[in-house]
Amino acid sequence: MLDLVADDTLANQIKEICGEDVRKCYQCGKCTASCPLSFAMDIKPNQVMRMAQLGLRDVLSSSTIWICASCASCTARCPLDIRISYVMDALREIALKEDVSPKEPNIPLFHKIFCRWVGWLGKLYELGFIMEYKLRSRQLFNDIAMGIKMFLRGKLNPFPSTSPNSEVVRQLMEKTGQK
Amino acid sequence: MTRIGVFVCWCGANIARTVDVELVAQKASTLPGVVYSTSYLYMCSDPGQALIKDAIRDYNLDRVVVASCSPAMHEPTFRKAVEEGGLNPYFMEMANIREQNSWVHDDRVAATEKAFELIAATVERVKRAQPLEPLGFSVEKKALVIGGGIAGIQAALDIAEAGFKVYLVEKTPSIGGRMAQFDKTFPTLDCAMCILSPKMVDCYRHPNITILSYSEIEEVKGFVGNFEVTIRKKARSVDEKLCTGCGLCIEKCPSKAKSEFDEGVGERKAIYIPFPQAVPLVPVIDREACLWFSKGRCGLCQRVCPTKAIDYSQQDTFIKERFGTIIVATGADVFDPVVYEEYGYGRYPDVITSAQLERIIDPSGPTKGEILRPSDGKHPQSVVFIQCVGSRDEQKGYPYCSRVCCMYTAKHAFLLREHLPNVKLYIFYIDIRAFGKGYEEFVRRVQDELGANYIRGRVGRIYPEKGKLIVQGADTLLGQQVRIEADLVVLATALVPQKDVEELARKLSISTDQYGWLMEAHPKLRPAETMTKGIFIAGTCQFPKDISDSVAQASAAASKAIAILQQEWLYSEPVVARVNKNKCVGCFACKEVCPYSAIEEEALVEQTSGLEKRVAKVNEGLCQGCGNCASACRSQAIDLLGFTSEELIAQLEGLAKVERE
Amino acid sequence: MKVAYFPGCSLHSTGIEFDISVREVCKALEIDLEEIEGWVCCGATSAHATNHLLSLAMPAYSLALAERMDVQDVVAPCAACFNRLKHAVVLSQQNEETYNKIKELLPIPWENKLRVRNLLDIFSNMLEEISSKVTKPLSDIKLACYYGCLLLRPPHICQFDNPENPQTMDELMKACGAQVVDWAFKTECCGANLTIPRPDLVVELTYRILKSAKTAGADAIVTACPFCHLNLDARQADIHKTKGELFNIPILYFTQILGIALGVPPKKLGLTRHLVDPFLLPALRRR
Repeated sequence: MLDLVADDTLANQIKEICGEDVRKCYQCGKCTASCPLSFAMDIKPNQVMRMAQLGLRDVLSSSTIWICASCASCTARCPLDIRISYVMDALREIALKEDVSPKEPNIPLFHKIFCRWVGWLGKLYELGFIMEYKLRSRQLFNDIAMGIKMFLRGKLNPFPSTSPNSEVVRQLMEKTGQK
Repeated sequence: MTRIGVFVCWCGANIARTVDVELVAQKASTLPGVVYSTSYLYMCSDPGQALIKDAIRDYNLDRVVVASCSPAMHEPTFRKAVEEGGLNPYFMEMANIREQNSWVHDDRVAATEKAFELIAATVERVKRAQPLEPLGFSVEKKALVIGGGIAGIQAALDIAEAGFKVYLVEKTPSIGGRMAQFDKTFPTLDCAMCILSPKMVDCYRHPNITILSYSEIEEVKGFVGNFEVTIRKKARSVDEKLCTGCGLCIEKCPSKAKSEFDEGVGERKAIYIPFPQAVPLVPVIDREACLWFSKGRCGLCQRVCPTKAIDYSQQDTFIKERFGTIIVATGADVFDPVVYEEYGYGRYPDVITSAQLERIIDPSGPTKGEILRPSDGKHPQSVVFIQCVGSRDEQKGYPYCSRVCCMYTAKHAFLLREHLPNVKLYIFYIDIRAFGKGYEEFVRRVQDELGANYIRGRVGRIYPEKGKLIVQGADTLLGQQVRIEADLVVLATALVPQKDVEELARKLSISTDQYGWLMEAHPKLRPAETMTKGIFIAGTCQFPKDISDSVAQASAAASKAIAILQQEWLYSEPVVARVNKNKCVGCFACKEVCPYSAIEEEALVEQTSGLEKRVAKVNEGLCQGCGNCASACRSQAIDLLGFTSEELIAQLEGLAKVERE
Repeated sequence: MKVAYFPGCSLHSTGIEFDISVREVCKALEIDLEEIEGWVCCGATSAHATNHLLSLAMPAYSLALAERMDVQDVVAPCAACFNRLKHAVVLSQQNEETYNKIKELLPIPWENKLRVRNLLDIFSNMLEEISSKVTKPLSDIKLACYYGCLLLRPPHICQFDNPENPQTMDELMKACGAQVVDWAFKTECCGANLTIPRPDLVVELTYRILKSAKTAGADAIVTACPFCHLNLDARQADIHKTKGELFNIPILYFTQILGIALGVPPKKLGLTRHLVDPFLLPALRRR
C-alpha cells in the first residue's frame, strides 16, 4: 500500500524546465492510447502524468521516460493541450540531474556519449560515437553486419568532420550544465 | 430644511462584529439635517421595518438613510417600507456598510470610522433626492416563440393554454426539432415520435397558436410588452393553403439530395417533407437541388399536383407583428467531428456520429431501422463508441461537458443490443455522468444486463485494416493500450451553439457567453430569463440539456411570459436616463454606447433661434438605467434619474467633509 | 531563389544520399542552396532528451550564423534538424523569457528573423513548376509516402501539413507521375534513435510500418527523414531474422524520386547506397 502524501515539488520542477503543467491532466488516457511504444513501457504515459501530479518520484526511475522516442503523438492529440513529450524530456533531465539510477541504462548512456562527441567536434561523428557506445554498453557485436554494409556503401564516414565552431558548442554545454 | 432619519443595521454579528454600530448611530445623529438616528439587530426584519415606519411618523422624517447591506440585497425591501411609511420610495438611500466594509475589514476602529463616513456621504446624497414615479406601459397580449423544437412547442402550448395568442416561428420546414430525429428517449425508452407528434399536432390545431414554419426572425424592435417583430417567411414554392399533403409531387420528383433530417445518411427529393409526421404537412422545394430552379427544366411536380399548389414564382414575404413577450428556443447544433483527423470521420465511412446512428436505428429512418453499416450495408458485429468528441477538449472542441452524451450513448448501446443480440459493444469514456432521475440505474443496466463493455479511457486513433476499423485506445484501469477490431465506430459528438445564434442574439439585444450559448439572467435563480426584460430562453440554446430539462425550462419560461401577458400595465423602475434637450448638441455619442438601443433621435425647433436641431431622446421602455449614455455625454445633457450628477457630487462632497481624527 | 542550407550531421554520413539527391534536385529546380558556414549539430535528439535549454541554444546558434547571410529562409531537409531548428524559432517567438535565455547563451547576436522550412514545404508551393519540369514521369510505381513524426509533430511547432493525414509528399509524388497508396502508418513513429540502444523496439515499430505499406500494395516507401530511412531500410534484415518475414521493400528519399522524374541520371542520386536495392523494382531498373 502506498502512504500517499501529495507533493507538488516534482510538478513545479517540470514546469520550471519546460513550462508544462501536469496538474492540468484529467487522465483521459489519450496519450497512452496514442503512444507507439507504450507496449514497452513499465509505466504508461497517463500514469507518468498521474505520478507527476502527485509528486511520486519513482517515476524518475521508470523505463518509460527513456523508452519514449519523442514522437509527440501524445502531444498532438492531448485534449488539454499538454505537451506531454516536453514533460518526458523534463523528467529525463531531472533524473539525470539527480543521478537517479535508470532502468534502461543504455539509453541515457547513448545520449551522454552523443552529447560528448558533439561537444568535441561541433558535429556528430557517427562512426566514432557508435563505436564508443558499443564498447561501453558491451553490445559490440550486434548490428555488426549492418554496420559493415553501411560502411561499404559509404554511409559511415571513416574520418570525423569537425565544425570550426566546436568550441561554441562546448561552451553552450558548459553554460547549460550538460553532464 | 430636510428631516433625515438614519437607521444602522447590526446584521446580527455580520456588521456589529467589526463596526461599533451604536457609536456610528450616535455620531450620525450629529450630521446636519439628521433628526433621528438609531441601530437595530436586523433592520430588514418586520420589527426593523416597523421601526423605520414609526420613526417617519413620530419624527416627521422626509428622507431616510439605511446603513446595512448592498442595495442589490435589500433596496426593494426598504423602498417599500419607506413608501408604507408615507414617503416617496426614492427618498430612501442605502449606505453599504457590510459588503464594502465589515466583511472586508478587521480593524474595528477603522471600520467604524469608515461606516460613519459612508453614512455621512449618503446623507448628503439623499438630501438631493427627487421623488420618482414608476413608469407604466400597456402590454400586447401575444407571445412569440422562436424555435419549434420540443422546448418551443412546450412553451407555445403552455402559453396558448393560459389563453394567450402565440406565434411559433420555426426555421426549417417542420416543427419537431431534434427530438423528432430520435428513435427512443433515455432512460424510459419512450418512443420519441409517439410522445412528440401529439404535441406537434396540438400546436397545429390550437386556436391560439399560429405556426410559421420555414421562417426566420428578420428584425426586432421595441421593448417588453411592445416588441415589434418582422418575420421573414421564406419562399416554400408550395402554396400552404392549396396543398393537401398528398405527396404526389415528392413521388414524381426526379432529383435527389442528402437528407438533413437523416443527418446525411439517407436521401430526400428536391421537393420534400422532412419526415412523415411533419407539421405542417406541406412540402418545400430545395431550390439548389431542384432541376427547375437550377437548369430551368422539369416542372414535373407542378404538372402532377392535383390542387395546383406548386408555385415557382413564390418570393420571401415579410410579416410584421407586435408581441408582449418573446421566448427563444432555437436549440443547438451537433459538433462536426471532421477535425478529429485521428478518428478519420469523413474518410472512413463506418466512422459515424451518434446523430447518424440515431437515424440508422429509427424504424422510419433510411435503413428502416435495420442496423446496417454505411460502407457495405452489413450488420456490424463489433461496435465501438467514443465519448466526449468535441466536448471536454480544449484543443479540438469545447472545454465544457455536453451533458447528454453519456446517456444517449448508453441508450444507443441498449438499442443496438435489442436489434443485434450478439453484437459486441465497447464504450470508451472518461467519466460517466448519469446525474438524472433513473439515469445511473439505466447505465448500470446497460453495463450489467446488456453486457456493454465500458472502457475507461480515450481512443488515440482509428485506422482501417482488412475491412475492419482498428480502434487503438487506452484502458487506464488496466494500464494498457488496447486494440479493438470494429465494424462500426460511433462518435458521441457534443452539442454546440447554432451557427447563426449570435446574429439572432444581436437582433434581440440579448447576450451570449464565450461559446455562443444564450446567457441566462442568473444561472441559479433566473435560469429562464435573459437580462432583457420580456425575453426568455428555453432548451438547448442556453446550454446542452436533455429533453426533461428542456421541457422544464420551457414551462418555466412560459410561466414567466404568462406573468407578463396577464398584466394590463407594466411598471418599471424609474431609474432611466433623461436628456436635457436644451443642453443636447445632437452628437449622439450616447447612441453609440447604449447597449439597449434605447436612444432615439428627435427633431426640435429651438425657441430662441427658430433653428431646427436633432436631439437625443430616451425610450424609457428600453432603457435599463445602466448610465453609459450619461458618462459618454459631452455636454452633460444626460442624467440618470436616482443617480443624477447633483446627487453623486453631493455624495462625494459629503465624504470629503467628514473630519478625520 | 537563394536559401541557407542546413544539412545536419546525418546528411554527411548515414543519410549521405539524401544530401546528394537534395543538391541535385535543387540544382534542377534552380534553388540556390548556400550551406551555412560553420553550422553545428542541432542536438537532436539527445540534447532535448537531457537538457531543454541546450536543445534550443544549439540550433539557435546555427540560425544566428545564417542571419549573416543574404537569405530569408533556412532549409533543413532532415526532419529532425527541421524540428529542432523550428523549436528554437517558435518557442522563442512564443516566450520572451526563453528567447532572452538563449540569446544570453550565444556568443553572437540572434534576432530570430529567419523562416525555417523543410524541403517538402518549399516543393509543395511550386508544384506547378515541378510538374512542368517532369520529363521522366514514373507512372508504373506505387509509393507509400512516409512522413514519420518530426516533420509534423508537435503541430504547434512544425506548423506544417495536416499532422494526422498529411498530403504534401503524396501530392509531390503524384506530380512525379507516381501512384501513391493510402495507408494507415504514414505518421507512426519508427523508433528513431532507439535503433542503437534498443534495436528490438525499432524492429517492432518498423515491422508494423513495413507491413502496413506492403498490405496497401506499395512497391517502395518514400521518406523525408534520415532516421526513418535508416530504420526502415537497415532493419529489414533483422525483421527477417526475428519475425521470419522478408519485405525487401526499397526505402527511398522523396528527393530521389523527384530527381528521377526531373531527369537527373539515377547514378547521380545515390541510389546504390541503400541496403535494400531499389533496382529490384522494375520501374527503376529500366532507367
